[in-house]
Amino acid sequence: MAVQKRSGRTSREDIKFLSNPNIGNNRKKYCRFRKYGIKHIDYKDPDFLLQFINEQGKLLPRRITGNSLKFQRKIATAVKRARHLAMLPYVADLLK
Amino acid sequence: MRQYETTFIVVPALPDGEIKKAVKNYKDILEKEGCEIVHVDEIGLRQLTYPIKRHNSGIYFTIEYKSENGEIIDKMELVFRRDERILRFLSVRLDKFGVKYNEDKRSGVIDKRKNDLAAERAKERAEQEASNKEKRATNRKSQKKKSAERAKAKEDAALAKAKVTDAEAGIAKTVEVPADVAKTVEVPADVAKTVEVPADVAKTVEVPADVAKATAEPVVETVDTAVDVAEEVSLDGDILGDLTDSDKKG
Repeated sequence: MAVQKRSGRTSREDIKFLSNPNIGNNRKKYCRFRKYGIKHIDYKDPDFLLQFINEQGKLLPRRITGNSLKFQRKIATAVKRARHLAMLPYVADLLK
Repeated sequence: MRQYETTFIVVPALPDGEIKKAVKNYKDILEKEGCEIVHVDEIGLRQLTYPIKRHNSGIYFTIEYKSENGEIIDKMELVFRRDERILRFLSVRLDKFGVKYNEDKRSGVIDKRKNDLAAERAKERAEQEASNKEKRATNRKSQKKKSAERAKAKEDAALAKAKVTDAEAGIAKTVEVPADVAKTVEVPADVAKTVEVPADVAKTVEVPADVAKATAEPVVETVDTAVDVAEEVSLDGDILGDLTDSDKKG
C-alpha cells in the first residue's frame, strides 16, 4: 500500500491502471514498399517524397513512417538527392 | 552494360536555341564515347526551392544512357562544371529495379496504375456516400417516431403526477402546471414513478408556491424518505398518512 508522501500529488502507483497506454495502437504499422512490392524510389518525384518529410523539410523517423530499414535508407538518399537538385528544400517553413 | 542517369538544370533565361544546343552538346559527348542513349527527357521549367546562383527557376533535363564502365561520368562532369549555363547536375547509376521503373514510367504503366487506383477509391467513396445517405434518411424517420413516442409517455406521466399533487395540496391550479413543466423539465417523468413525489416535485416545479413553501425546508436538506417530509410538512394528515403507509409497504 503506497502512502503518499506529499499531499495533493498523485504517485505513479495511483494512476498506473487508470488507462491503458496501448489503447490507441490497434492499427498495425507496416512498410508500404514491402507490402506493395515497390522496389525503386525515384528522387525526381518530390510529391511522393513529401510523405516522408515534415513541414520543416526534415526527414521523418522510421517509427513514424513505418518503413523498414532498407527502404528508409533509400528514401533518405532520394530526399537528399532531391534536395541537391532543388526539388525539395533543405530548410523550410510550413512546407505542407 | 551499366545504365546511368544524369539530371541537370539549365539556366532558364536563355533563348530557345541555346537551350537545345546545350542539351545536344552533352548528347554528342556521350555518343562519341560509344554510349547508347536510352532516353532524353525534359521535365521542363520548374521553380527551385532555393535560389541557385541568383536564379529562382530552371529547366530540368534527364539523360539515360548505357555504358561499359564509369569513365565517361568524370569527363561529362568536367564539361558540366565548365559550362556556365548549367546550374546543377547529378549522375546516378541505375540498378535493375531502377531500369524497370524508368521503363514502366515511359510506357505509362505507373501512371495508369495510379489512375486506376484513384478511380477505384473514388468509386468506393461514392458508393459509401450513397449508402450513408440512405442510412441517414431511415435514421431520421425512426428518430421522429421515437421522439413522438417519448413526448406521449412524458405527458402521460405528468398527468399521473398531476393527480397526486392535486390530492396533496388540494389546490386546483396545480393540475395544469405539471403538464407544462413536463414538456420543459424531464425530471418529473422519473419522479412520478417514486413515492417521494412531494419533495421532488417541489424541487423542480417552482410555480405552485403553496406547495413549495410547505416543503421548502426538506428540499434544501436532503430528500431521503417521504416519512421525514410528511412529519415536517403541515398538511392534511389523512392524505399523508396514506402515502406513508404505502411507502412503508414499498
